[in-house]
Amino acid sequence: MLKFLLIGLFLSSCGLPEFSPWQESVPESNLTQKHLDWLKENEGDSDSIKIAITGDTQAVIGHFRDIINITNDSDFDFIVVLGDLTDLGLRQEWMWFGNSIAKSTKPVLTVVGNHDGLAAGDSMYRKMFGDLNYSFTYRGVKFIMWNNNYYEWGDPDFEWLEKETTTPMSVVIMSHQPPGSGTLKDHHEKRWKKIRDRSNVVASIHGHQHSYGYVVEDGGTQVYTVERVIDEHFGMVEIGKSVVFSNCKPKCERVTK
Amino acid sequence: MRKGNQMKYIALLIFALFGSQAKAEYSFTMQTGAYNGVIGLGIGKHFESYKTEILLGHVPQFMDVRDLWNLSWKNHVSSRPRIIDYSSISFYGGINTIAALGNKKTYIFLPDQYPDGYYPPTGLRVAPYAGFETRRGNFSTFFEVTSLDLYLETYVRSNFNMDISEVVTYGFGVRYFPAE
Repeated sequence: MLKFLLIGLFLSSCGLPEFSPWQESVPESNLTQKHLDWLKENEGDSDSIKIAITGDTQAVIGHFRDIINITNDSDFDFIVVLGDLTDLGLRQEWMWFGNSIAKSTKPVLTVVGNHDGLAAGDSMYRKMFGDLNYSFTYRGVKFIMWNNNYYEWGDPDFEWLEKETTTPMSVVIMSHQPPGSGTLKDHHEKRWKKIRDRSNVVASIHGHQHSYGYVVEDGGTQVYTVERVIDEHFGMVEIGKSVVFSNCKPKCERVTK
Repeated sequence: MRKGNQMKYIALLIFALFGSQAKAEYSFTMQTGAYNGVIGLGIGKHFESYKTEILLGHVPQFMDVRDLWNLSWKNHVSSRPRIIDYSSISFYGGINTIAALGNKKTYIFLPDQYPDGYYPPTGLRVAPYAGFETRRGNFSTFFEVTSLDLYLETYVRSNFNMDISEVVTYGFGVRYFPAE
């Protein structure tokens, strides 16, 4: 029996076991700002931007790691992951995601999805990444990363979104839920449509649907939804004189006409 | 099945197992890890090759972010014990059902704000486990490896493109069998 206890102590030197699925301590912090700083360092003089778009890594994190391998060997400027980084907001899922993006050679920026609001997901995202709503400017384009998950966080912050889109720059809005996803109330959708109709909003990019989607709204804004990150599926947006979307499986096929 | 009825049936099943008159041994357990807390304390009932056990596990705030309490219901089947010197060793495998207690961030029954069936219970998980136990006299020690249902699902759906250490954890403990 003593031998057995010694074995147990030896194994515990391999790392602490998991004591509860609902533990909340996560080691990383402020990853959004770190990756934004990284992005700024590599901004350069180019007048075009190439972004890899992924989302919904929940319960398929291994496929996201394949995407990281693909983008590491590419000329993408950065990667965005459009929510549902976890399935149940559990600590171990956040660790998987953090371990995955630690291997990326490009900055990775995220928005939260509805699943990320489960359990202690809200506090763990804030600890690991930072604010749920944030924006940044890259090569003259403003990117707005917005939390619009109503069931988990209540009314999305439309005042903040309106304020952030009030700029002379071209704007790209990114959020987990696409327009018409069914989780936002009618008055939310109407208010959001007015914002997307602003002449400087050139694109609205989303996840959640687990399928590719693309539409050009009557105001001219391109609304793009990316497939779930499985079997090397991701999206691409190239922003220069125009905005061009492509579906990548992993070979990229243009969808913008 | 209505929410309240599900819990009643589970409670009745546990009561029936522990109240059963079949030949069995009782035990007191202290365990660490394997989702049963930093310290998990419980009672078990050992039938011939089947065992059922209830544990209350605790993770203190200084080891995480807040105090966490779990209630686990473990059920496993074990091999016939092999006698080695004055000890016996047996191997076993089973299912651990774990519920978060008093955790306002999780739920077992979906809150009313969500449409029916929107999410599974976030405060209730299932964890298959396997282990071995060595017994000498009234005491035994045991070691288990386990994984959560979601972790196994993720591992398989990720085409095994994860390190096994990311989905598996371990635990160990001691049992005391009161003298008859």
